[in-house]
Amino acid sequence: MGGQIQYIVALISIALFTVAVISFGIGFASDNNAPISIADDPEMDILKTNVEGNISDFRGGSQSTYQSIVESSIDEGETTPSGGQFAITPVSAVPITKNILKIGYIKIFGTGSGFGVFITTFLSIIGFIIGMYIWKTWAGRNPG
Amino acid sequence: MSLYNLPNATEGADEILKETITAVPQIPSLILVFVFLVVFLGGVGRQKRRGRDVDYAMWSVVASLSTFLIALIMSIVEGIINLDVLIVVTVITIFSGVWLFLDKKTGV
Repeated sequence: MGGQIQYIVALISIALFTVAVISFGIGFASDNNAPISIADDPEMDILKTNVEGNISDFRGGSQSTYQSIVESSIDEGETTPSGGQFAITPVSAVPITKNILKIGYIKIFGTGSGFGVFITTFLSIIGFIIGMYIWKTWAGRNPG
Repeated sequence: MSLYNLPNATEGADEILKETITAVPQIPSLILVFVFLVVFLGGVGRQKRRGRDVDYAMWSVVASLSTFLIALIMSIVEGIINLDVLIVVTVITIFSGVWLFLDKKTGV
């Protein structure tokens, strides 16, 4: 299992990669006056807009998160900060991957497939892992 | 009686491809699958022969991007691939990226 930093970087990298691929496809079609463009599919266009919004939220969230980390304090001899809870992870990083996987799943398997339990469970695991790492980093130990 | 009608080549090389696709609509998808498998299996096999751990996620991204570029070039001329195929190729490319970035080998 990787660390919290690895997961956050992975989630943001996925978002940037997605925006890059879709933007390149749309720009390629626009530059060459292609009759078939990714922009013709409204869901892909919405996905690009949503992911760009999530990245923008992350940018704002990361600033306040960094501010809270800098201003936090840990008393001598303790592993848990007694100065109050501070933010570790911008929560906006999680829905980025959820959006991407959901749209991609719909495009390949359709909306009416009974296979949906797979993607739902997978997305839940991602959210759960992030929550666990937020706790572990804050408290300095495993929950429970 | 000829086995098949020769395509009209006076309109250019892409007209031959378009007439072939009119006769066999699955050809563009098969070409894209061929490109993906050549890059993916070629890369994986080559890396394995060099005695290293095979990075399937990385070769998946390389193969997906190759397929994506071929699909984009095909989309310039009308009648070669349709929008559904292009979207599925795009989604597979994005999913390959998800696999690569969540792969534990790509640690930070």
